[in-house]
Amino acid sequence: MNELLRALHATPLGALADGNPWIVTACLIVHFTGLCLLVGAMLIVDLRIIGLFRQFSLANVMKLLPVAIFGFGLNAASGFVLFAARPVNYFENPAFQIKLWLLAISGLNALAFTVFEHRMMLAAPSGASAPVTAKASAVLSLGLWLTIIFFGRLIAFQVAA
Amino acid sequence: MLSWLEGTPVSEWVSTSDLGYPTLLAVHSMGMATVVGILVLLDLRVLGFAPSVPLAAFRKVMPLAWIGFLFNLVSGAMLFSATATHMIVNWPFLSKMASICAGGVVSWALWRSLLASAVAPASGGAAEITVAPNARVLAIASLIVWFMAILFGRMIAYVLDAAMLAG
Repeated sequence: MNELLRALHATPLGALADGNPWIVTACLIVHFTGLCLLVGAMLIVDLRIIGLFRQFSLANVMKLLPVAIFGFGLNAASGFVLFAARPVNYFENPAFQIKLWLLAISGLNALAFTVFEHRMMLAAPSGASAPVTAKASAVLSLGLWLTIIFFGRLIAFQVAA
Repeated sequence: MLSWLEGTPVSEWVSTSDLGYPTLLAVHSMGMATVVGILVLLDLRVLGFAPSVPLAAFRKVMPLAWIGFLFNLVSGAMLFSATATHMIVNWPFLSKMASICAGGVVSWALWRSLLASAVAPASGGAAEITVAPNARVLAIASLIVWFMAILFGRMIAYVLDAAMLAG
């Protein structure tokens, strides 16, 4: 694994990012912007599925998902550059490890939602309640994303060391 | 007065405990996602994204943005208290405060403009909100100003660390 991480660090991308603090700063700014888009959209989507904000229909709220996906894309890209700048440090960082596990669970949750619930959301009449399985998925999604931000922010306090 | 603030029990805890500063920053990030995320979504909707989503439905979402703001006001004040004498001369911090004030005014003006255009449909039911041209300008301004708040917020630590190292 360590060799793989060193190889990533040795790529032009890794070398460029590690040698240029402005690239790291820019990626962090993009990363914070992306998380606002992702979590802001997920807050409305998940809380509607849970049962709040019934003025949105379930089909309406699904239209907001592209913002979340765009935010995730920004963060996957900026996150990868940040990781490439210090692969070994990140990999050994406990907060980073927790964050990645939570991201993996979140990905599975999103996949399950897409496969089993998404079509039903689009067909639901306005003001309808989501099925309990979708609500459970929404609670998990919200909890995970907020926790991911929490541990993401803690990474900095160990990377520097 | 700022030195006094740095000596209060709360700021002592923030600056000397292992968990205080990181935990507050993490909470501050969660609050940021809530306030900025929701306001940006409103901006995007005003600018034409997801037109089938009713603007009037955002009425119920706005209190959540306020909750996020409140979290950040409290966590931000506690973080400020730990390094008040440095923060008050930290240019990114001052720029961030200015951006947040501007963001608050712009988003408030946008929301007022939307409410002003709300009309109850003849058939009864919930009021429908239409987007006036000035609302689009405000939405673009809001996107820019809130992004500036994030950008300056991110810069605070660099200037702060440099100032701390210099003594």
